[in-house]
Amino acid sequence: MNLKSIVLVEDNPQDEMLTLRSLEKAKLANEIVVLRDGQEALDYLLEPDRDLPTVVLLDLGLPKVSGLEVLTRLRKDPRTRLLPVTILTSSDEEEDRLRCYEGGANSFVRKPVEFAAFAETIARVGFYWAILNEAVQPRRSNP
Amino acid sequence: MVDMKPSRSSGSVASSLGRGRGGAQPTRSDLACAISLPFLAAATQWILWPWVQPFVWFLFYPASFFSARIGRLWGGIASTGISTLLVWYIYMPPGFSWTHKAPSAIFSTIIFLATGAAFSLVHERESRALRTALDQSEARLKLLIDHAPAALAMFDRDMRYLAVSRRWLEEYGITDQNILGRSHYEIFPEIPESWRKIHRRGLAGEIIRSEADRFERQDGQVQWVRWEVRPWSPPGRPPEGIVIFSEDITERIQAQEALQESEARYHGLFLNNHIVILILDPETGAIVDANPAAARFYGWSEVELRGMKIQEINTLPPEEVPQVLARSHSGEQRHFYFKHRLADASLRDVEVFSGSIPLHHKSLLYAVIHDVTEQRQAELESRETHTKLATALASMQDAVFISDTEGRFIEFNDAFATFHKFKNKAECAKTFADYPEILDVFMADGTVAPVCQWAVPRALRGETASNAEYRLRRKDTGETWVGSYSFAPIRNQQGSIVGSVVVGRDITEAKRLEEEVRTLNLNLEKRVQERTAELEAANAELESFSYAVSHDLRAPLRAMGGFSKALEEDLGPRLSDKEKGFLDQIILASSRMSDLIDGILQLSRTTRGGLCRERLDLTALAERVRDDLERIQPERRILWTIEPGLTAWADPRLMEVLLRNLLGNAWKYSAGRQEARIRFGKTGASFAVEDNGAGFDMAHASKLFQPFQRLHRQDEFPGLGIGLATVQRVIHRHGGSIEAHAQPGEGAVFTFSLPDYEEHPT
Repeated sequence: MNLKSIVLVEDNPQDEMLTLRSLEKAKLANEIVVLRDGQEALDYLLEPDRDLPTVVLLDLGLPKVSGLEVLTRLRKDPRTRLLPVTILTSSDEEEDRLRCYEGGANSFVRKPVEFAAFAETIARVGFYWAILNEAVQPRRSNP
Repeated sequence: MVDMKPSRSSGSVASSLGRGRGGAQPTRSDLACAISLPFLAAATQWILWPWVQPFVWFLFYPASFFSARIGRLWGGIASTGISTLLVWYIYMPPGFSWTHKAPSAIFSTIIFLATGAAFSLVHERESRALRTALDQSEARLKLLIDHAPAALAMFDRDMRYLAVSRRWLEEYGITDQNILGRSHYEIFPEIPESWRKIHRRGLAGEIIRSEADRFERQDGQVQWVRWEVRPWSPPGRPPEGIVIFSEDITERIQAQEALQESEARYHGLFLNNHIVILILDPETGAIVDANPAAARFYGWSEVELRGMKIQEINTLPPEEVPQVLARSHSGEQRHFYFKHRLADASLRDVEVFSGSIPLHHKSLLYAVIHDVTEQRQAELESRETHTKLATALASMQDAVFISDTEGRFIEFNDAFATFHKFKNKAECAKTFADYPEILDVFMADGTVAPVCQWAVPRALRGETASNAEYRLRRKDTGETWVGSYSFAPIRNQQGSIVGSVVVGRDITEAKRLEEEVRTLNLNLEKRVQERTAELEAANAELESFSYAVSHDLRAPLRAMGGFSKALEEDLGPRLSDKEKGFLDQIILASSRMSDLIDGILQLSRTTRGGLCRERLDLTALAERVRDDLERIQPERRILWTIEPGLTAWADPRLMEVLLRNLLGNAWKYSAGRQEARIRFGKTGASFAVEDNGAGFDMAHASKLFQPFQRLHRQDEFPGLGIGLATVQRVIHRHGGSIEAHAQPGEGAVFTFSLPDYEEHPT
């Protein structure tokens, strides 16, 4: 079985490194695609021929197009409408959380400052979406 | 008597008694008689001559005597002369001859002549004396009759006038005629038989009279006459005529009738059924007479009243009554108002008209009494109403104007004068009378208001309005002002308009203020908008700052901690304990920094966002916080006391923050206690969180609620110094207050109040 990839949208290289290290430590075999701003994420994910990842780990504070905007755009496209999106953010603002769920996020995870907690969180998130979750394919309308 | 004839002519006195036998001059027949006597004597002596001779003068002496008596001087002389001639010629010897006679004859002749002359002279003088006396008597009688104050006439048996009074002549209108000696019937042939009969009865000796005989004159006027017909006669003789006496007593009768009538009238007036009249003695006040109406009014009988004094009725102090009586009696005052006491002791207001009734010996006082109690009462009420109205009008700040149907003043108040910029009502009234068009009136929008659109004409057309705005200008002074008018027609009970009432208020100042307020409001709104924009900008800035803090400050910390951890993991055993300790310090520092950031965010969140109040179960919330704390540190043994039924009108999210901080503090600072106690409940109207923990020194209490200020060292009780600052902000956002009391080692009490807006909504 060809493992689907995991897409990480993160502009902070340090967080990216820590995230990749955590996923690696969790021994997930999925390919990790790292995208560094919102526009790049949209370009990548909305390309019609693209094999969709198993999950998108999306930061909120992104250059060019914000994470929330990326989420909204993904949910408008029928193809990515049901794509699992997990928000990974430093914010613990209630407001952010609310807007994300309203925007169709599948979950909202605060990045703990403490690395151990962070690593565990990332590992769990990756494990959940990569292994446990049974994805659904959006129905295609007949041509 | 005849029908009385009006006579107003005032003729001269013409009446007189006919001259009688004792007149001044002997009549011709007297003289003839006197002259005839000598011849008679001559003839008689001729017969008797044989017996009387030789006394030739025998019968001539008496003849001469009587001739003088009858014919007086000249009759006597003539008789004497004739007698002498006759005797000389016939009887002196020789008879029947003029020849010379004997001297004795001549001597006797001379004696005879002297005697005859003496007779004549004596008789003449006697006669004159008698005549004078007669004349005087006659004149007196004439005067008496002439001036008798009655119509008086004396007739002889043939009804010829013998004497008549001037009044008679006047009344019969015959002053211009000499009627003496003429017959009454000749002068008044129309005299009716009835009267002629009365005359005849008089002539027959009867006295007929009437005290008051009524005659209706031809012109319809009624005349009253008193008359008497009485025969006159010399003593002991049958009547020689009648005297008719008549007197016009019409005036007397009329006066009498008038008097009777007047008396009847006044008597009737006095006895009148309705008018209360008392007759008083002005000296004593005694009631001399009282009419039936008085008896009915006062409740005493007329007899009782006549035994009373006015002092018993009038409620004036008795000593004042004489003065009132005197004033009334003198005519100084004729009109009084008194209170009179009735028999049943009730009091009535009376209006009294009084005056004096002059009598011969003393005068009395009449008093006409009119009960005006109801009238006075009504007057009083009406006056009271009027006074009230006038007072109300005068005290009104609004201009009030009441007009008749022509729009003329009936009533207006001081405020009306002031409203039109007059000094007083008098000036206002005068100016409007002299210059009715002194005002320019404009509508609220500034256009000229035609007279038909002014308040009074509109009200008189039946319109009503309130707060109708007009702008006014005095033509004379140029003053302008704005009036707010309310007006309405005044209708009578039938609903037709009888006038108008207009109430005006000067709203110039109000309008100015309104304008000012409007301007201020506009400015204020603008400023508020500006400030709001500023605040919004500041809030947005704070928001983005918090966001930046929450995102961007955490990432480096995570990197610091994360990579330190990565180093530790990767190098593992190759690291010395000291190196490992350094990495741990980095990790610890980044963790603490993260806590500080969390604290700042928590603090800022308490001041941001809306406040969503609801009725909140504080007991349940506190219990939840307690359970969380016990879950984290299950080994702690704490005696909790959470009062049941605590509620607040508050924002649930903020209240949770508040309780987590306060209960968390109590939990934290009571850690050293063997028997730690935490209580959450009410103290009066406030809530209190009480513990028996470490407490603090009140000397430092001022720092208690300031962020990042701590009263304990980190190694005693770790913390950020954010909790109580957050708590205070939450309380302040709810409009409440909080205070703390503590002693080191004795625990602390935090007391806070939350206004319950649900119970006192504003």
